[in-house]
Amino acid sequence: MPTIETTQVQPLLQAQAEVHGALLVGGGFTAGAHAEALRRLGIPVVGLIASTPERTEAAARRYGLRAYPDSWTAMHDAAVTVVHDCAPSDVHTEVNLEALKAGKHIFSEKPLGVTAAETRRQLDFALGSRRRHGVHFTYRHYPMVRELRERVRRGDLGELRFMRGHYLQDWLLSPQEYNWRLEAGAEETRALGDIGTHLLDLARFVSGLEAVQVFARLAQMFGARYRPGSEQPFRVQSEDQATLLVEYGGQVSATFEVAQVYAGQRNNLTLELYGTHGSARWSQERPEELRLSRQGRPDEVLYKSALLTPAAAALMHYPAGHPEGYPDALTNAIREFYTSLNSSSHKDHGDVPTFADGHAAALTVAAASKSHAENRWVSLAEAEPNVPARSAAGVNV
Amino acid sequence: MSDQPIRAAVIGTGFIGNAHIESLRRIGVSVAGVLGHDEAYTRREAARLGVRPYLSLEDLLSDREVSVVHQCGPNTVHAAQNLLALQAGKHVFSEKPLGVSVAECQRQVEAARLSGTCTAVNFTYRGYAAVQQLRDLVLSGELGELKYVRGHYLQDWLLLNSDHNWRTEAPAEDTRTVADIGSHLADLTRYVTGREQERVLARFSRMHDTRLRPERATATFSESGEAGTPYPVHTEDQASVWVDYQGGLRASFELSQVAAGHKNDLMIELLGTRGSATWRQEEPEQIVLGSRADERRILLKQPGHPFTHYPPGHPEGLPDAITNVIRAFYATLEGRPTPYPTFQDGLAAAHFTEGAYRSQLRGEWALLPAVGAQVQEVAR
Repeated sequence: MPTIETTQVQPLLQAQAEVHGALLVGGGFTAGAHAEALRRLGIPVVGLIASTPERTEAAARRYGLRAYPDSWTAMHDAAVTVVHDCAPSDVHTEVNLEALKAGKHIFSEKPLGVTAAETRRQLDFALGSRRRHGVHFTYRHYPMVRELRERVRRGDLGELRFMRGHYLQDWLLSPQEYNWRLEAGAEETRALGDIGTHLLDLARFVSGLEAVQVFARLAQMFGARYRPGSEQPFRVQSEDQATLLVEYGGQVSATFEVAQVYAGQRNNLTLELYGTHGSARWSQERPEELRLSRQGRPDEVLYKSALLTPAAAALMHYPAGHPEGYPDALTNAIREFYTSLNSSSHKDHGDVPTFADGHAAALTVAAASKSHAENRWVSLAEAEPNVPARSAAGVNV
Repeated sequence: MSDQPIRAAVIGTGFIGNAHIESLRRIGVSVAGVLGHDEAYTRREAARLGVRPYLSLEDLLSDREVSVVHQCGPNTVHAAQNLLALQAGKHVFSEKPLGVSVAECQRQVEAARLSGTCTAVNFTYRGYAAVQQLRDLVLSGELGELKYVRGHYLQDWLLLNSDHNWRTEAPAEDTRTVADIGSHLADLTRYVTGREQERVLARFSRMHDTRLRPERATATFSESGEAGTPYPVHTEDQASVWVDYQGGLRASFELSQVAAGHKNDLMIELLGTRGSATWRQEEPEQIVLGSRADERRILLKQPGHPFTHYPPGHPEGLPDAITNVIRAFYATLEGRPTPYPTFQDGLAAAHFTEGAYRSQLRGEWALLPAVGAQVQEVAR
């Protein structure tokens, strides 16, 4: 790298307009990743709380943070202004509601909840809370994803008609691989909830369209798997793989595939958009490239550069040819969330994914799960949980 | 080391200074303060970063809480300031080039030896996990006996005659492409092969003998596109360089800052009697392995590697490489030896640069002295 004095790319470190303090809930890999991103941004991390005192101690020591004795003390510490929910998915609802009730802003890992009923409840509560609510859909925060959305918006592809996407991994290929996600119930889903939500959010974000109805087929490569140290198999309820047809209305349809058992696929999230004048493709494993194919032109590959649209260039912090990757997208997600905290209007979320986006993803997953069980098209309206009257009224969106 | 937490001070808060500060924060090292080129600027930057402003180098060096100085100032101040920091008993982590001449680098290597403190030069690319893997591949003998190295470092940010930077106004003997990016390729080759350089043959060329100086200064990697005042250029836009290493290893390098379409295209290919390995900085998580078999293998990142922090398929890039070099330095200070580039490596790069200049001037090979037992051997 040449010695760089200044560039026109965005500065790495900016002053915070308001002083915030972050609380990490959870002691796993993701909590560590959030801690690192917060430190990069110069945002104080006040402390950590995990599922048990032992885990809290161990994680707090690992990341050099204060260990809170209990969740109430952590949530009510005046130094905490933002709660980062990095706990397992099945406790997100409890943690996120507790944070909002304590008057904190909440930045939650995805999926927002394990059912659409959970995410609906959280959304309703958040909307009435006057606090910021964010969901960590990392992939929105890559510069080339922002570029892709801008290109779609300004009509580079003509009218959008089809989307094709996949999110393929192989980390659960062997029945001996174990993770807490394998304990999920059938309704909760696994591949869909864990990585399908990312793909669905990405398609929704880039296209600006809402899913209307879904047809899905879920499959297992292994019905029985093993817990660590056990030779006794257990019955797996959730899917290893899923294929989805999604209708977005207005002549736009999509085909999606997700899998956690496809050999050779590490973290292959790919989205293609086809319009009346051209197509575009982005793949997460090559995040700084965007392929464009347009009528009457040779195919092009755009690379991250300061010549991107301003919305995309705002997410790059190193010049062209200096690769920025996943940790940088994650840092952008947290940076954008904290920037939104300083915005005067609580209705202006900018490009920060909120609980509304978390719920939209969960709703599509719920519709897919129902479609598979009943072998028919399911509309998202059908999947929407019954909303109690009190939360439907007077809601500021 | 005492039980006091290690604290750092940073000289220079331009782009690379900010990158150092960000990396230090990532690894949880506290930054005590910063020193900029003038008082008002220093105060403003310190306030922005929430750290103490140092109003002079003496002020910084007398801060007893600071044990490590990060040198991110302009190249011309590196030697003088680094020497004072060493005299003050500080560890020094310097940006490259270590100095603007071999003599400057030699003085610093000598001072570092006498001071007994740790010194590093930020050859960033060593911080990629794949570069560590490349070195392991060579040492394991998987490629057979290493015979050739092909490498290039190509950029295009000075393609237009209106592209301007202080480097384009440098005198010929400072070199430009060779010092700025060739030094990275030379260091990378020395590191992954573990061989010392013996001699160098170079041919320089220029795409533009005259460039246009814009009315207002422009920054590295930016485009000016304006008309300006013509000035003669003395340094090279391009260089072809051959280097012979110990044990009959031969390398050819192509360096350019005017290669359209190449942004930061650093590539190295290692060719042995049994196989080859290729790595490109712009796709930093892949090593391509070649052999006589009818297959080409792509080696992906290894999740357990100490320079890898995210799972496969979650790309780690340049900011992570910078952080890895800084992390390795601090791990060593804390008693966990981890490989990082030292002042000796900075001196070897200066020999490469000066040798290449001498060679192209005389049209013949230039001999390069060995810098000692310098290619660091540290077991992981």
